[in-house]
Amino acid sequence: MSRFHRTRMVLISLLLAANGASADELEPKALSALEQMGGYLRSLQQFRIEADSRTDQVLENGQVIEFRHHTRLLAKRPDKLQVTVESDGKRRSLFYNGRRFTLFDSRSGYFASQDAPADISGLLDQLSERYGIELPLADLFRWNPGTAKAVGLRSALLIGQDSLDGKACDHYAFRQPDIDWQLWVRQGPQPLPCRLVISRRDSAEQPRHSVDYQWQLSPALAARDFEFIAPAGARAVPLQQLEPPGEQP
Amino acid sequence: MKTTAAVLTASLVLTLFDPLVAQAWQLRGGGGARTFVVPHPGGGGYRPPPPHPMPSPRPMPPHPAPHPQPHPNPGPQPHPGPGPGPGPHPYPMPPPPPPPPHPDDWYHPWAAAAVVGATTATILAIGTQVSSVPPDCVSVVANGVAYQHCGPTWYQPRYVGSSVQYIVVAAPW
Repeated sequence: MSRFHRTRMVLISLLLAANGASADELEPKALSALEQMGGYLRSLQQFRIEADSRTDQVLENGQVIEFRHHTRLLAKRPDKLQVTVESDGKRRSLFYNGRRFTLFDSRSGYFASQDAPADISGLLDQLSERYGIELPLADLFRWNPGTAKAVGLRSALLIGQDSLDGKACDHYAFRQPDIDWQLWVRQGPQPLPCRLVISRRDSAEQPRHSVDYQWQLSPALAARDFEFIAPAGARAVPLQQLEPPGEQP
Repeated sequence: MKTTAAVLTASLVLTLFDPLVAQAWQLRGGGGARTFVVPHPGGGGYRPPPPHPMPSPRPMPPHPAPHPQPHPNPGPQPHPGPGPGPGPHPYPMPPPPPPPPHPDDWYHPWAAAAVVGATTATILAIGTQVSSVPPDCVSVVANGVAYQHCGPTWYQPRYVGSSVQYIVVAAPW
């Protein structure tokens, strides 16, 4: 009996060790799924995303609170973009018509407008480098074969399959410094993200951000979708540039 | 009669957009979820801090510095002279440099913005940056520049990253 017990313990330890090892694995299938998705997203000429998200914030007392937003992203390559993040009837938006971009906050009624680069890619670079602005939902479009290494991905697993919003999706789990994340990618010839969940590991409360995507690849887009028309009472304000490195005190 | 009309217009402008209502709760600075997995490659906005894995904190309101000048009557009268200028008294302590914009701000709740000073009578150092202003501030345009006028304090709204921030400035008149 005691021998049987010992054997069982050894078996359990072996199983645990095996599990521990496999949890830190980079499955080639999971890595290539990210690359294929990134490449496919970059190949889209125009699209519309309607995304519902839930974002945790943490109160001073440590309680985790969830906030919901709806994000709409309209894009037409090479040079038209509109993003709107809406919550409780109030909107934060970015309009880009190929010549200028405008930020608008419907709560305050303030907007800021600037000359813009000639295409979406140049716009994203300028927004990030000059103004410290990252666009929502844009980061998965950047996934390429070098990204896994660049972000320090150290675990990539295929978990299984799931049916989300009527679409068959593969479910993956990834781990990189500070965050764990899960991604569901549509099966078949259009590897679009179905759902994304990001959990912070660098905070005891592990706040989460989750997004459910709806994609339209042949949306009806009009030129006016990308033009900012100032509502009555809206006022122009400056947009602050980042201080160049070295000039900060 | 004209004054009444002007006041009415100002109130209309105020009610057009949603003034912030003070609330009992506060978000912990830097405590929110991360909303992206790939930081921008050449971006100046966000670099994952390698030594300590905490994102840059949310702009926390600096403590309202006590102003040496007595302001017994911070009413709607125009200020004598160019604001709380370099009089015989020193400025309040300069605020810490404002934090850089945060890439998660698109999903930061508006309602969570902290209101500095319960009333418009609180005086803040020039250069102080806050993410919202008291609800009784008045939206004003002077010389083509938008301000929020809150008793003795003038804020200039501007975009820092994707969200509007208010910087305390000298009175425009």
